[in-house]
Amino acid sequence: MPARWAVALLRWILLLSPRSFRERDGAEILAVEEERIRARLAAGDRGGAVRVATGAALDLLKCASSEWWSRFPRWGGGGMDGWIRDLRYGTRALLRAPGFTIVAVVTIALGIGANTAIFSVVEAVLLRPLPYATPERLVTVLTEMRARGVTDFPLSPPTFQDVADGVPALEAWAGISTFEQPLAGEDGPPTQVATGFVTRNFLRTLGVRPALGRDFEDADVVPGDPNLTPGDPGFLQNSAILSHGLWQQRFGGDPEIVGRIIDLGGTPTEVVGVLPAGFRLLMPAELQLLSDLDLMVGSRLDFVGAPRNNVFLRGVGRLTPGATMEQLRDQLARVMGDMRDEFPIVRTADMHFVATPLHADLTASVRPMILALMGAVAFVLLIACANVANLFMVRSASREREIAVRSALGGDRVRIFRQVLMEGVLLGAAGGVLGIALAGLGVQLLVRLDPTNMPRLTDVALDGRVLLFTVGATGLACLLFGLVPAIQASRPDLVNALKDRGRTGARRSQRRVRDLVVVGEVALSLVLLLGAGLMIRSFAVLNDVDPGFDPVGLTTVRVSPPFAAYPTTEERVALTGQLQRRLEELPGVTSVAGAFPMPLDGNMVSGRWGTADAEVDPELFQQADMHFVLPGYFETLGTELIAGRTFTAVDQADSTSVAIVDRTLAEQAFPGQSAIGQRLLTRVTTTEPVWVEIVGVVEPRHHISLTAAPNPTMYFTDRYVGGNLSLTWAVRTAGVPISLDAIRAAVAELDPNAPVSDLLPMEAAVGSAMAPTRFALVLITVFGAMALTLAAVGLYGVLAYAVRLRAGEFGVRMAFGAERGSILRMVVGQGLALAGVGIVAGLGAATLLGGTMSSILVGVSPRDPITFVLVPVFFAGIAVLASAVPAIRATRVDPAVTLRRE
Amino acid sequence: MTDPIDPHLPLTPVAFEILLCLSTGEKHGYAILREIEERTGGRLGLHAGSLYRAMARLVDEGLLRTVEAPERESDRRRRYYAVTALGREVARAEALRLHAQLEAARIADLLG
Repeated sequence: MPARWAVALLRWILLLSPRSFRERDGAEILAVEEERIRARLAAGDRGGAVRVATGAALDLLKCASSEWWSRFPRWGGGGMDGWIRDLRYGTRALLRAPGFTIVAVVTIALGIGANTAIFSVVEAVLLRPLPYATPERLVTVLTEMRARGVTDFPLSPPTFQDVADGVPALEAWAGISTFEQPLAGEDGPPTQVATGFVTRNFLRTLGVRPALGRDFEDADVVPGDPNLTPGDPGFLQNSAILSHGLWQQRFGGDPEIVGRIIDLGGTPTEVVGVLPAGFRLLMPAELQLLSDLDLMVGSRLDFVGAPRNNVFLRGVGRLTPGATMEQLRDQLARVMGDMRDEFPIVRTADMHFVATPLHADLTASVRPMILALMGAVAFVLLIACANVANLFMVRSASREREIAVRSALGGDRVRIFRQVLMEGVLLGAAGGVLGIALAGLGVQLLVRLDPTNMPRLTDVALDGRVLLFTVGATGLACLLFGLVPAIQASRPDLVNALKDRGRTGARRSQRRVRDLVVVGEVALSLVLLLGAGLMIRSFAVLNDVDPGFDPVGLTTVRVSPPFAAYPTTEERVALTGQLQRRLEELPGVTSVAGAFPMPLDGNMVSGRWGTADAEVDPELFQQADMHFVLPGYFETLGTELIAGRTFTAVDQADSTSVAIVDRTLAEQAFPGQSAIGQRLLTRVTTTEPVWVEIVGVVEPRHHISLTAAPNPTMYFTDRYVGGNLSLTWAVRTAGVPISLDAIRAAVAELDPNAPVSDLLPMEAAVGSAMAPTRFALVLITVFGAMALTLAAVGLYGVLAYAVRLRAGEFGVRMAFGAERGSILRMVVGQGLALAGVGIVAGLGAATLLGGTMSSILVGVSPRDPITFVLVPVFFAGIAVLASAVPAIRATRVDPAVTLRRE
Repeated sequence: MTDPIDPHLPLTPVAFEILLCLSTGEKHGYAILREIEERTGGRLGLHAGSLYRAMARLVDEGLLRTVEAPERESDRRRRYYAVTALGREVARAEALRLHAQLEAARIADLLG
């Protein structure tokens, strides 16, 4: 029995070898091995039988591979040696034509380098799994209020609890909210720490365990005042987990850190653990969470008694194994349905849950740009391949005679094919290696060009997966540019080539292939150039955007007094007033004002307003951005007042109920009338709406981004919300910008425990608001320029070759009296004809592809007529230049010389 | 005319063993394998696959030929191999070459 099994195994292995071998010797081999095994079994030598069987199996594997190898000589003869000979021959052939080789290698390297660099971004941002346990099961859950056009709305603690209770599709459900608070103590100067307020299961939900100490436990979460939001004065926190960075920098990596009590936001807080070194909070930008957390706190927060209008939690869940997104969405809809019955606001606002897989959510905003860039570099690689293929064909056409002679002398056609292909492989390999080097530089450049909105950009690197991609892309490129010329070379037209006129007898079909390749190149590069043109137009639009304030000479800085030491509104307002006056006294300062939030600082406070109609119909309440500012704010920022007045010291000193609105809101609330003196209902500090009087109207401003239209906005005094906000200060200087040290010194005079942070010239904030567009602009323009150059070189190459072949014809024409001008026109005309066909094809392709770019364009249609006219005209100009050189050469043909040669 | 034997030298150890084995008469694969195994004490680690590849090559080179199984063979389908005249000459030349090497080794006192 075992002998039969062994033979069956050997028969299977035999199937791996070439058929001819199997048919000739297979039966004999199996018979012999069977007899050997049986002989040993009969002698009672089981071990020997097994040894023979395994030995025979390995031997057959070896035979199979050797037999296949020995088939290779049929692909041109010579076996392995033959291939090595061809490799050497190919190297020599390439070294004999250094110009061709350098152009080809650099061309391929550009294509491969650009692709590798961009793919490394695709890999790190779009493909690499998030650094959490089974990240594909993590989801984010938000709410949106469709009737009010509000998306990415946070959850209130009771809503959070409803989801926790009513959604079995989530095996874990955690909440987070981030804020900044001061950290004091002897370990260093007071500093603002980015704090993640998390539910106690947050880290467990992500699958992250503290590197030191323990995770949060139930005991860390004790009921506190349910009306408070994390960061509010009096909001209690009793345990913290530090980030690895804070532990190292602030506490010198103290191994005894666990159990220590630190002064956090004026509250003694126990350190219970330290996060792992690589931990990062990777959450979608729309959630407006701070990403570089210094620490996390498990807070005293009583979810049971908390009000539903106190929304601050961001929900992250983990799908139960086997549960689908559909089930999750169904269950969430059911929870919302229950809420709809109970709370009118859910109904009037048309509130819905939105669940998205975390990774998709994280990358949603950058995916179109990355994919557009990947498409752009794929085009560059295609153009590069087309160029090299054309160079090859031109070269092999001029070698046609040599090849024809070799064929005629009995040179194996496959052999010639193999040699030409080998040259392609060599070029590809050299180009690939150089390309990787270029990609290394490219990646550094990409990271430095930081588009600011790309998650995990710092993770971009040339790792194994990227290099695998490069090898694949290079292989594909080799096939593309090596195969066609190799096939053509191996099918020489012997009769024509060997005839004496062979030199001029370029075959029509070959010329047609070359023309087609150039037309394709022109079309592809035109598409890229159109993309670059659209980006340039976008950037110009963005550059012209009036932010609604004057960023020049303006510096912003964050000052965060420890409000626990200033328990009353009066004390806090007094401190803020002293600070404003002290900062105004600094040399060079012309004006100072504090506000929360500051334009383009990434913070946003939303609230609702209504006119008198809303008093009876709450559905008429509408959304607006809310800003809390000090007197002098609009003057300092340079925001234009249209009507009424700005805030005065009186507004800040008294709790007067006055507000300033922007023109957008004024026109919405009181169309056709003056808003000054009118009243609006708002609910900023109270649960019931209260009246405020409008005293001024200002120009709308860009607050969150320069691209989106400004939201309707309301301004209140800092005093109106009790003066308990950590204000950002805008300092306008004449001449030298203000230094952090000067501000620190001034603040320390008033309160040495108030951290000063985030000093940033407003122009830098405006610059970084333009960064994503600039990123796409620079890259697409670089790729477009590469494509244009390659296409121009390709056009030039084809025309130059055609002119060389037709030198005789030109000579004859001129001998018969043709003008130089007419020859010039003929050649340039030929170039323009090729370019023209390519341009038309490119315009068609760009029209079809237009939609893919629309999300990265600003204020420009993807089929912008100006771009679609100017770019082709520019391209035609380049085509004329590329054709002119060969055309001029054609007119320099000496008729006497060519006639003699003919 | 070049020497017809020279291009075949030196033989691979397996080829030499096969020729050696068949010089005493026509044999089939199993017998050849067993004889080589016995004579070398299994040092060559030879298996049927490699054996038949080597023999196919020797047939191509004209050193072996396949013959019909003799009358006494029970399984008449078995393929028998025999040495050609050229094969015998090549084996002889290889033996002489090895002999000369052995002599040289003896003179160099390598064999003690």
